[in-house]
Amino acid sequence: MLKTVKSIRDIIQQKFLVVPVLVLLTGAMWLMIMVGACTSEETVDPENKTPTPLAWRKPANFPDPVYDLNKNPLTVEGVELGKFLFYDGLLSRTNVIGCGTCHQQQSAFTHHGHELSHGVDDQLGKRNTPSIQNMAWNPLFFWDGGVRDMDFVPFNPIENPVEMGETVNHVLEKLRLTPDKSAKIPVDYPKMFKAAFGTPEITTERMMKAISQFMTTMVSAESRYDKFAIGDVTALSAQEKEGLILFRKNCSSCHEGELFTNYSFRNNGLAPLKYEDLGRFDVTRRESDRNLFKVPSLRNVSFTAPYMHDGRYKTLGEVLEHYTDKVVSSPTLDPAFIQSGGKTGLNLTDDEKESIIAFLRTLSDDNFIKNNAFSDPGIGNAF
Amino acid sequence: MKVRFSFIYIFLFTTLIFSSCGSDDAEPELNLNGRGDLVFYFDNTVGNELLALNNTTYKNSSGESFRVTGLSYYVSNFKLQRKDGGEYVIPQDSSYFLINAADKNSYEVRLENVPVGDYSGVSFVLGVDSARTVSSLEKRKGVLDIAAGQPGASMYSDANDGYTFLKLEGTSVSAASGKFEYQIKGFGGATARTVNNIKTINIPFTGTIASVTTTKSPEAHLLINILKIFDGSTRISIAGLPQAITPELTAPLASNYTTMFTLDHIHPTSSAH
Repeated sequence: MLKTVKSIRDIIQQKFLVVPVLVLLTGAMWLMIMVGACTSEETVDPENKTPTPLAWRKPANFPDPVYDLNKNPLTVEGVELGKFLFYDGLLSRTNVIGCGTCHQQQSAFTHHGHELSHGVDDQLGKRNTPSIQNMAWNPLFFWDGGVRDMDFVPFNPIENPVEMGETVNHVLEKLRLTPDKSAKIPVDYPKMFKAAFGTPEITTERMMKAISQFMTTMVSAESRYDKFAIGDVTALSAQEKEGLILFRKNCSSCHEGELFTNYSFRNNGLAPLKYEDLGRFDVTRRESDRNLFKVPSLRNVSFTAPYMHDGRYKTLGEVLEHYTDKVVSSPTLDPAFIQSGGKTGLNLTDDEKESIIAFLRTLSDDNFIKNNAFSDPGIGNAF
Repeated sequence: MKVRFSFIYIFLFTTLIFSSCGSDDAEPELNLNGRGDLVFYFDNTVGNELLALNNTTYKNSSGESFRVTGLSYYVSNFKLQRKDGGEYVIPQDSSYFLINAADKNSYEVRLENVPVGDYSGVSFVLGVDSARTVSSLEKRKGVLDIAAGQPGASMYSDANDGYTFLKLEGTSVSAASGKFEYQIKGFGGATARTVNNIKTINIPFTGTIASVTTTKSPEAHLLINILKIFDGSTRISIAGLPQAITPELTAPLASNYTTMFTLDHIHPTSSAH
């Protein structure tokens, strides 16, 4: 660069000595050329549009999100790329299993009918697929809280040998080699990365941020409960309101606030199965964390059966029955389930349980499970 | 005079545009105050022999035979001690390196733009510091990319255990499964406290110096004796510890491995080996 400037100066100096007027002209010409050279990449080439910012609004009754959107501002192109990556089987070793294979929209992005989900080569995972919704409020991810930044979430399923069985490195290589003309829809990822981030470079950071952008848009806040919460007292029936009161009294110390979880880790007294899952202990290796699991949100809970970290209960009735009759004592059992007389579980009549279930169904958000913005663009595989 | 003024004006203006235009090329200092490179070459050894992967059998201090199938480790946060008593700290973003025994190119750690002068020692972190371990994705470029590492050999584990500082894998008849695996890690934990196995290695250039000039990049040749992993303050046997991949279990290995680095010699200029 500096060398070029010197030669320009030489040229100008020569002219200066001969015809002063020419100096000005030449200088002005150079100026124009250089200004042009400087900006042409951004403005002249029609392929080089800057990504379109996407407005993101926090639902009125929600707290502030945890995810820092300033570090990853949403754009139309970024979210679109994230959606393709979310559904694309390329993220797995067998090129078949995408995120959307186990996180299916009609089940609020869980795997309906599967206690545990099947990954590559039909291998079974050890935990029930958690819902993907309202991710931007999540301070810790997965049943054991092993991840604390949304940008790091896809790493786990991709590199888990029984889920997608891939390496992030290899996924990046495969994405760089697209479009693959033999694919069902030959997606041109370098082009999509360019649209989303300005250049076609495909990196870990960009891939993860695009998926985070898509997941950030996956907000569920349009249930009947939400209408009630923002002031429409007619949105809930008398039984549902009764259920809400009982819920707040018995359940909301963990399923707290508008997200229906306080993101804490608890042992809710599930009877041990043949294979012990240590839960939070896997991450912290603290004895007090043995068999603790993250409190899940209850939004869309009527769509997300089966329930619990191991998917052992198929209906909400079974879940409520667990809390009244089946809570098993153990050294880490949450104190919320130990009554003053030493009995475990909650005291609820059958009518009360029914009211609570009626209330829980008001957390269903039909728009969330039908919104085309979150749907498979035609590249995914759902089993 | 008026014309001359216009000319200077145009010249300055064009230069301005040029410099703003080219700012991405990152030429912050043109070595005006005298800078050069200092190179460290990490030679992995087993006792007195150079490490050969896969096919050579070695013995540890417990008398156990073993072969090494993989060795990789991070070195970061380099600081150079000046002979006159000062210290030069390598800029944080340029101070992370991953040595992989399977990749000869990774043996050379080149510290660039080091101020000209005589250096009498180096210190570095064996592993990755806690600040970088809990940072966001933008701060994890190059070897800190969470996807870094060969397929199936990623060095990043999770938020609480962070990066593996040193990974040593191999085979041994002393292990019940025929394999041993050490993933030494532990930065203190992000969401729950773990053992802190971050070790700083200090290597004085005893009896010699590294003179950095604008034309000469000295190369310090380090020997890394992996037998020390088994044999420092605690003697570790493969039979007794065939697998250790948590901060707690790898703590004694981490205490041992601080002694595995020695300076062999310093070439006045970096060259082929």
